Amino acid sequence: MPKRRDIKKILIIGSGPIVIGQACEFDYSGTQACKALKEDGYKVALVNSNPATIMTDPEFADATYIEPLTVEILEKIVEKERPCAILPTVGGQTALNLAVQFVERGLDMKYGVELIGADIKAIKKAEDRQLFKDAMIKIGLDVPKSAYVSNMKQAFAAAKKTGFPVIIRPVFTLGGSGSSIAYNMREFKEKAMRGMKDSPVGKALLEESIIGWKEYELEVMKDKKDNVVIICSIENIDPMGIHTGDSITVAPAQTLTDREYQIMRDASLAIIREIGVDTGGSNIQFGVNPKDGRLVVIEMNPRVSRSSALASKATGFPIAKIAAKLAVGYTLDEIPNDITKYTPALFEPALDYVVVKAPRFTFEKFRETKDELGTQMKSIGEVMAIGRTFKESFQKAMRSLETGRAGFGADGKEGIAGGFTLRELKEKIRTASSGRIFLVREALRRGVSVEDVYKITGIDPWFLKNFTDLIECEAGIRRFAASRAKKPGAFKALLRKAKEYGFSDRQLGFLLKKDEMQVRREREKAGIKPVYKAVDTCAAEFKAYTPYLYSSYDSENENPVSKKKKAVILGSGPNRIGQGIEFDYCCVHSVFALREEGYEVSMVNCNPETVSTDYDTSDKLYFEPLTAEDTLNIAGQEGKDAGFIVQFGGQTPLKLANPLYKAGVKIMGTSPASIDLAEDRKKFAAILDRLSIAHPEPGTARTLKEAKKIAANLGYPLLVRPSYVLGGRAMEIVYDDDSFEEFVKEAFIVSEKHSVLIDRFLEDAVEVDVDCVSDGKEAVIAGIMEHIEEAGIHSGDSACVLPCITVRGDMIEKIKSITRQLAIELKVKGLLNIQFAVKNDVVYVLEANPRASRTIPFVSKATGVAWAKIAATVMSGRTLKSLKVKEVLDLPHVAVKESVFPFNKFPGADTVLGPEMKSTGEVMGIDADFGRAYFKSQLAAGQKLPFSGTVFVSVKNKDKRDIVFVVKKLEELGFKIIATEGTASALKRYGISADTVRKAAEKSPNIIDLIKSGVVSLIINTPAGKGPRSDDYKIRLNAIIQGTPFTTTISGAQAVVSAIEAVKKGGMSVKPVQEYYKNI
Amino acid sequence: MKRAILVLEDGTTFEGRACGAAGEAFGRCVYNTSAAGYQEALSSPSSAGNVIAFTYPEIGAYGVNSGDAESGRIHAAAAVFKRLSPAPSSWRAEGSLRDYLVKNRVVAAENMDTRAVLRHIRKRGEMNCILTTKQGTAGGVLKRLKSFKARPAADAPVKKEYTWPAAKTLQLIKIFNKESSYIRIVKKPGKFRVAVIDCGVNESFLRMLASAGCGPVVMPAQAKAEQLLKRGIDGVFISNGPGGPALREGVAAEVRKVAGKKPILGIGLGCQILALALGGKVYEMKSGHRGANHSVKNLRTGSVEVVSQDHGYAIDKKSFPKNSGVSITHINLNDGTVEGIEAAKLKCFGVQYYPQARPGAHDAPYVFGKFIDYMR
Repeated sequence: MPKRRDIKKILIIGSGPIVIGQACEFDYSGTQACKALKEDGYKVALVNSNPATIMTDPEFADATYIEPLTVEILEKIVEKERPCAILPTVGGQTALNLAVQFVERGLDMKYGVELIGADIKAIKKAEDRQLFKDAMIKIGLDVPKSAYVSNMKQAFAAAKKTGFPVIIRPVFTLGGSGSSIAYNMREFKEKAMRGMKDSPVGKALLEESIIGWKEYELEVMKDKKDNVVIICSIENIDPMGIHTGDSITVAPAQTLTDREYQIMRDASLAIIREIGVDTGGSNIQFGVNPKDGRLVVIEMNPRVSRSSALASKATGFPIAKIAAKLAVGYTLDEIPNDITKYTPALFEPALDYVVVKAPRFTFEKFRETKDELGTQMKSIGEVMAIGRTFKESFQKAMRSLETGRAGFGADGKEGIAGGFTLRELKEKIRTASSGRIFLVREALRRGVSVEDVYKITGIDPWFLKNFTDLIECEAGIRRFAASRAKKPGAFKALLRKAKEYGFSDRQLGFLLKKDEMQVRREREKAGIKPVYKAVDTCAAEFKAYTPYLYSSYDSENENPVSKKKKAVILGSGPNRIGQGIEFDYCCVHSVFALREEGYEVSMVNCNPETVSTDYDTSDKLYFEPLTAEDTLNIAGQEGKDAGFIVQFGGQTPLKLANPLYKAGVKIMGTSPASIDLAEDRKKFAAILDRLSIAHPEPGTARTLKEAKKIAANLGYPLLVRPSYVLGGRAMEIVYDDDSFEEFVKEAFIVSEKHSVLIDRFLEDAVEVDVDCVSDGKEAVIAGIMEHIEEAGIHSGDSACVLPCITVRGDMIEKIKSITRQLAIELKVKGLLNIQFAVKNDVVYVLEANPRASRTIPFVSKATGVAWAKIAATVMSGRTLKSLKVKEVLDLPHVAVKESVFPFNKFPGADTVLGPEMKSTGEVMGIDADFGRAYFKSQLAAGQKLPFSGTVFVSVKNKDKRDIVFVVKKLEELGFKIIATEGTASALKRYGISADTVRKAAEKSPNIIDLIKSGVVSLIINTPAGKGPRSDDYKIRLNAIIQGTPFTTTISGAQAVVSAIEAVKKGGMSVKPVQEYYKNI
Repeated sequence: MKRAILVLEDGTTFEGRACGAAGEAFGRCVYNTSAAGYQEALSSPSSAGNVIAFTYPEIGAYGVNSGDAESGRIHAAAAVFKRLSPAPSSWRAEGSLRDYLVKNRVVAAENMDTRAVLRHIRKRGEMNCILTTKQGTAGGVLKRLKSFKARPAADAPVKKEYTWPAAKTLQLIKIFNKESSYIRIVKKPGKFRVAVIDCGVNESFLRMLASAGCGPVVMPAQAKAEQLLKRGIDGVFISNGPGGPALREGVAAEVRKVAGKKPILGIGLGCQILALALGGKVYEMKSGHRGANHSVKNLRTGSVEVVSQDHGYAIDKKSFPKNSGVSITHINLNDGTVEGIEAAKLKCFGVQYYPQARPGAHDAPYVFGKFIDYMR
């Protein structure tokens, strides 16, 4: 069946900001869908609130709306665009939920628009657990015992049926959010209550626990002609009970016989047909009882999911792209397989390698929460590794994670694990946690049997046996290192085996007590080098045309190395807080730019969620860990003339600049020497002094003693942070000696071998972020952003506005001239980001980073200029003059970036902002004025500001005068004001009448009761203290639970008020970015 | 661990470690791209004379079990792996693959770049080879290899006619409420008596026929038409088997005599024999179809079946005489080769793939249904 001709314009819904459970895989799928539909001649309109996406680049759609993802806004867009169809299956749960709301309000009928790729009945049947369960039983499949409850009476009755432990899942939530397990009645009461509360429809599902069972996933595709194929099978190493997003997983399934696999396949086919999925991809999860093979269906997602992005990267089959084509009427046999070109997409990929996915966690950022895994997803990102064998692949995954580990142990980083007794270890591995796999290793290493570890953890013995093989190999190397007779032949054989087992040079260096580079030299001398093999969907049965490569210690090298002009771009690795999609966006742009400049561009990355690891983004794709060893191997393949780019992937590739440079690899753009100049505080301070640029007095300490001396010199408040880390990890503002010592110590741990930076902290300054591009002779400023929150809050967490709102013109001029001066001084060739603070009419430089910054995508979307692309072109040798690049600093509109936080996933985490970054994603609000742009940014971030109701105000003493103006305005707008005693009396002095409420620590009814009752519609609370004991903490915690909008800074409150005022008076409208750009 | 080398006819050599029985095996070097189903592949009589290189790198993870065997022993001449799993993990496992290989005295090697083996065959075609664990140079092995001129001989299948017990149907594994809708076991078996021409039949075909309500009578490949046409026989099943139809010369001539008198179903090699009987021609492919993920288009319905295959010969699409009444019913979606033929008037049809799905996807059970319809 050819494509449909009755539809002309299709609206694609994106997934919004990066949150836990919904990361950049939906930019990858959305981008593929946009490309696939445009390629077929359809007009494409797009809505997504996330500016840091490739899909929202203006050329990917005909009309791109960077607007909040709410049904009201969606209606406005549909009204304006009048699309024939909406494609809701490539934007995750967010897009699917939005589409459901849209249809439920009858808007599809009103505007004559149809949903394609999924119909509403199918979505409901798959999402509503009772309907799903009934459907499964109808077609003869098994499901865990369960019941649907909406009050405690029903809940108790259901618990009797399922027994304990019982799983509690709120209905209709994101990424299984709010799910929990209760082991006894006491836990059950609390968790069942919370489960029902978390559900937008007040319902929870109670389920028989199948914790410890084997867990599998199948990725299925179906077309209109009812052809169904399985793209990939995935087996979880961590068994049932741990969210699949938090599990280490393997593809294809390892421990299923063909009979069992085929039965699972039959079940999947029956499910996708019974649910009524029209066309597209679905993900189906199964549990398998390891004792007798009993198979139960867990759930099904009738859309492109995180797992389908992984499956696409694991097999080379582009699920999202094909799903988009199927949605417009094509059938699988009509679409060619891009990789083999001459064979169609109707096939089931055959793998001849093993893929391991490992999650990346950031519990260290949320100290108030326990590092424990369950059915609610907690990981922020993931890596994927490809190797010929499980061992090779698993070790590659462990070193790809960038958690400081060089592989699966054997790197001297055992830390506390080594100190546990055997009994403690056995107890620790009972509960899943972010580092459990290393504790499992330690248990096995100390002789706990595979059988025992299996009994405790439920991890399949096949995986555990592979782990013990690795441990034995490691022991062999240690024995060799300790033995006197060192036969070269034996050494070579040992080295060869270790490399085949995936050991890194760093691990070998540790075991052999040698330097990593020395191991490398000896290894290469012995002729032990990796070869590169292709991911080709068909286990080499057909010729592959796309060089999608991975390394392996095997015999045949398939890497097609050309003699063209070459560039190699190093990506940013796993998403984490501080280094996310923004950097992948920049990498992808650099690929685009250099391909246009005639380079053959290779991309190196290990993050399966990204656009950069799409095989058709670059000319060559190396799916590899971003370590010195792995990148040097690639340099060895590509040859001396290949230029490496380390500027776009954040701190990950930047750290590799020096080792690569020292090994003689050509680095394109800003030289490693310049990078070092900017990173080295002393050298950089000297430059600033020489150029008479103001900066907070800095200090760099290598020991605690040095640190104390600096503190005595500079005086408090001080900003303490480790060097060479991104996202403000372990960064703190310190006011006294006691906390100083505590934080300095932690900073030393985090910085590994580097030093700790101590600066004087500029309190109450306005922070300004500048991005610019320089070719070494000239610098063009991309954007000057003013932070809404004052200095001291991490730039990644602060909302910011472009252009500046309150910074005076002469200050802006000063900022511009300093930026240009520094770009030239640092000989920047490419991007430069500078952070300024403006206080008492003085412009201070806080830091300069000669690389892509987190704000580049936001600036690009606000200005309509692809700055990362320009920077990459400049790095290839072109001048800004020849590119005719112009500054666009006077924008006719206002763009606001707001950060999105994962607090709802970390129960108990304090929501107060500080110098350590905590946000996972960002949204953009764009409109004609600041108020409306800010309102949109808040709405997009999930905070719907009220137009009326009660405002609760509680601020610290210092802020009491500044808050007056804000509260007065709110009073004028018709809000009722309530405040705690101190704040209320301060307000009274300025003529504002505020009702007094009791503090959280006082007896009921107090402010907490009011928040819980839903009476409060807005909270302004600037914190006087941090940590779980403070009053403010309880207020913020309950605001999160209740979903009450709140702000914790005065400047934030000011912005909120102007937003409410602007929208209350002027309303909201939508406009595609392409129209904004026309007026620039 | 002992060294093993794989030497191909053109001199290409791969080195690895011995992981099965010690010794030397001569055979046709073929590949298999399935991730699971290794036991079925090794024990399939169609694998006789084949040295199978498994491209999936972790083989043996779930061990072996009696339910998945396609015959009482390993028929493959030898096996080549990237990695043989050290210990099996499955509730169905009755032993390890390594022990299975050793017990069946099958030479095997691991740590070989099986992807490279496939790539080589894809470019140069399937060829003879020797896998050996004996000491000596590759040159010496090649000399021995050259002394074998012909293709490896196939094992002699059954010599005497016997009746397959009707009760030996497919064994279900009850991991769901029911295994799947794929298999409907007929309550009253033995309704139709089917003469099975055994060219190297897989046990699962006999079990499948029994499950579908047939009483298979297994006959030697040398069976004459009279035997096939004798009273009480409702249809003829030409089985799969190793190599090409040249190895089973004479069968086609007998089948020709039967055509039109009894419904005929040919599978794999049997399908090629049927093609010859109906006046068509068969040629050797450069590299065969060997795996569980082949997409076959059913030209009658337009739908596509994912099926498993193991054949090195194909039917020439244009070779049938005009008056033969033969139509092409299935083609391979990847290379357009013939996957199924039918002479509807004669109630004869055949498919190149394995619809009994051991191993493989359960996409084509209708093949058996159709055969039964013809016998009705």
